[in-house]
Amino acid sequence: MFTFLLRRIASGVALVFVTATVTFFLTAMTGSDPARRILGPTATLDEVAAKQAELGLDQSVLQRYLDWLGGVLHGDLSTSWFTNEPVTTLVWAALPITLSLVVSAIVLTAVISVVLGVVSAVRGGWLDNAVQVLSIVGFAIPSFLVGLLLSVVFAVQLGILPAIGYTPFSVDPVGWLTSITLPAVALTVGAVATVSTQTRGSMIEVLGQDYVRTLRSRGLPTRSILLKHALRNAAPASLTVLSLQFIALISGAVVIEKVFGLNGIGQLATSAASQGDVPLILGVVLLVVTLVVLVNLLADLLLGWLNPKVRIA
Amino acid sequence: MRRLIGAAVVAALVAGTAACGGSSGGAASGGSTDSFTLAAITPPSSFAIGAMASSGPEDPYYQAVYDRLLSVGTDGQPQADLATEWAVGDNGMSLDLTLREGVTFTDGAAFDAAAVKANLEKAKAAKGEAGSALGAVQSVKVVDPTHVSLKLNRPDPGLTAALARSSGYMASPQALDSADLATQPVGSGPYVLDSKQSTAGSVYVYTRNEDYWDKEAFPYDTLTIRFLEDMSATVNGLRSGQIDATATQTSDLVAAAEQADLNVETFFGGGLDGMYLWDRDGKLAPALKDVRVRQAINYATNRDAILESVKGGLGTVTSQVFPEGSLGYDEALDDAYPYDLDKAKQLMAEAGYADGFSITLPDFSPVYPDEQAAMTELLKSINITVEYKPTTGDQVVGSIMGGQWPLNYFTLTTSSPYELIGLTMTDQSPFNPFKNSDPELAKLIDAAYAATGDAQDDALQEVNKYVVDQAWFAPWDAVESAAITADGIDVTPVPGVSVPPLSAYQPAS
Repeated sequence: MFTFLLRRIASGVALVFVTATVTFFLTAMTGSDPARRILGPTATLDEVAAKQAELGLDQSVLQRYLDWLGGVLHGDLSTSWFTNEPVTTLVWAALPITLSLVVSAIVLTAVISVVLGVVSAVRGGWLDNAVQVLSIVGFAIPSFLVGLLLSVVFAVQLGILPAIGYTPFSVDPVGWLTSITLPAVALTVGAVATVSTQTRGSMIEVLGQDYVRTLRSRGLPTRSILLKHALRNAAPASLTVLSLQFIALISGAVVIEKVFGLNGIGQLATSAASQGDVPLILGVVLLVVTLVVLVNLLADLLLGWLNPKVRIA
Repeated sequence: MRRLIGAAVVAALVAGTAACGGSSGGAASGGSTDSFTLAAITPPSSFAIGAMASSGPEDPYYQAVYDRLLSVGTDGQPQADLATEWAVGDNGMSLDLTLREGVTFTDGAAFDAAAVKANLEKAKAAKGEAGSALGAVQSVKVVDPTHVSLKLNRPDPGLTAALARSSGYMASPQALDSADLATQPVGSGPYVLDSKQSTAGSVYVYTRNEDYWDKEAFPYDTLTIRFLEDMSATVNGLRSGQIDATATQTSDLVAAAEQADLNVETFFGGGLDGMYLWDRDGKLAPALKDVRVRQAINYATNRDAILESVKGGLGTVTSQVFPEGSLGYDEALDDAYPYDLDKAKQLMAEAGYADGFSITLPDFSPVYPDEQAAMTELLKSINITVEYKPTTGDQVVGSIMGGQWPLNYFTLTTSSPYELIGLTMTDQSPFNPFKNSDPELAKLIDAAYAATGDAQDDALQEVNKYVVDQAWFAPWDAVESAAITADGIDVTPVPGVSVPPLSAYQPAS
């Protein structure tokens, strides 16, 4: 297990390094002119040239890369070109927002999907059909539309939840919950559609196996068969989909954060990309790739806990 | 696994219950003076003196903490602020300022002539837009603690307008050279940035500066400026009472706000929108050297249709370069080029271009799809065909200044007619990329810079008339901004400034 962990961590670090390097050189190839953007339209060409030198853009791409990499290894992600804030400050400010959203959405997705998946697999009939139809609808409706609808109904019309903004948990736990409820629910709809379908399929497959029939014939209560035996064997497939969903939700959060005026990682990424704020783009990429690596690692560990055969492999 | 699921269910239930019970979302502040929340379409770039744009959507972030030497009155003209009096002397070669007494920065430093000198020199050295606007300032002389004299290297009637914008921001001289000033401002303004309550790049919370010299002008105890990029989020924020006001130049947002029954106040935002015909010497497009071709483009421009279909009606059609209410405005020039396609074609034929010609222009369609479509169509109507070259947003201005395009769609926002002249009409102007030099125009510009008092208006009108006759530009409209407010908030916008100043927002009377 320890070797397995070490191997996964090493490959994760390599992935983070390669992705950040590729991103660096891609941003260097865009030929954009951040100095002009910073100084505004009335700055002269000489002033722009001076600003480019200040940003280090007069140096070779390789030199800039080595400088940046050296900074990263010392924990310095440089400073945003456009807001003059340290990239670490901006990223740490945005991370709790996105994590709150995505983690809440993934918890909601897991709970709802397991309930829907198990119920429709066991009951079948009209209930199963209804869940299937709801899944298709969930797939079809874009999350931003769900978000807009939720915002109009619960924030604007009913006034029971905020339409925009984020309250940190440390400031006000209840405020935190109210601020992330609508966006988390908006994110959850699509994810539930995917994961519940997967859970239903796995459950149907597992429930048809011989050992389940044996358990039934030995008179074990249905509840015990379902939750203790069948669900445990059906869970790995759902967990894999859930971990992929976690990564998809980080992408989905980009749009949802906009709809709810949450300045999380998605908002940071789109602003940085549209402005050509290279240090910030690189900071966001580093963070997101690290998150993805960590989530995959966690999913592997959970799979190992659920299924000892995976641990041995 | 069962325990895991159980814990998850409990967490979800707790979340749901708490969500239903919470009510912090609908904390409307309209009408009261406890707090005021403004939505801005950008976070602040830097609080360092001289680093910020001349004027624009970032203004409120800075105006909260910094006073300016002058401010802009509701008539669009400079008015007293930290400088209580000002006088142009020495045939326009100096500007003398009398400073307000008894003002202190929030770190305890006194506001005096030495502070003004340090700030102006800092802004000039920073080489941003604020510094560029101080280009005429050769030196700043401290006469005594309450008087400074700015020595100029050329007359600059637009200097007072610049001092009423970002060039006039005053930070504590003790903090001026600190790198921290970029994110931790120290000024003498009505509010103090509360870094602990703020989130960098996202939400900026300001508390009242209790020692402020003009507290009545800023009725709210707490100011929050929230960076909100998305239109729906802004409208929903305004409707739910989480936001009190915002300013925009986006017609879609104005339409959405009107539909939601929010208060919308439109006003001239300081921008001249349209086609800028740069290549008047015909270096890239020889046809543009002929004034008849440039006039034909003007006659082929259906300004009313463009304003309605492209700009959503948010603007005032014009054929001239100076806006209504500004010095140099001439009402007669508004209709200098009525839409007349026959006349446009006739002028093209007279110039020998009945069959038109081809030009290569920057592709702005990712940012301005409707504007580009309108321009393509109007040029095509007089047989000018356009080939578009991909250009990223941040390359646009550099490529214009570098003389890569014979003409293009553009919006230039300026604070005074003198600034527009300085930016576009002299042979040194950055937005005169081919350095067109016209002795007649140069003479008129010299006269406008030398004129004082009422004579300024006449002299600027002459400049205006000349460039309109010579069709240096093909303007479409004077850009309008809109201030959108929730119930309980009144706003008095300032014409020529795209975002209302903070003091413009008051509880509804």
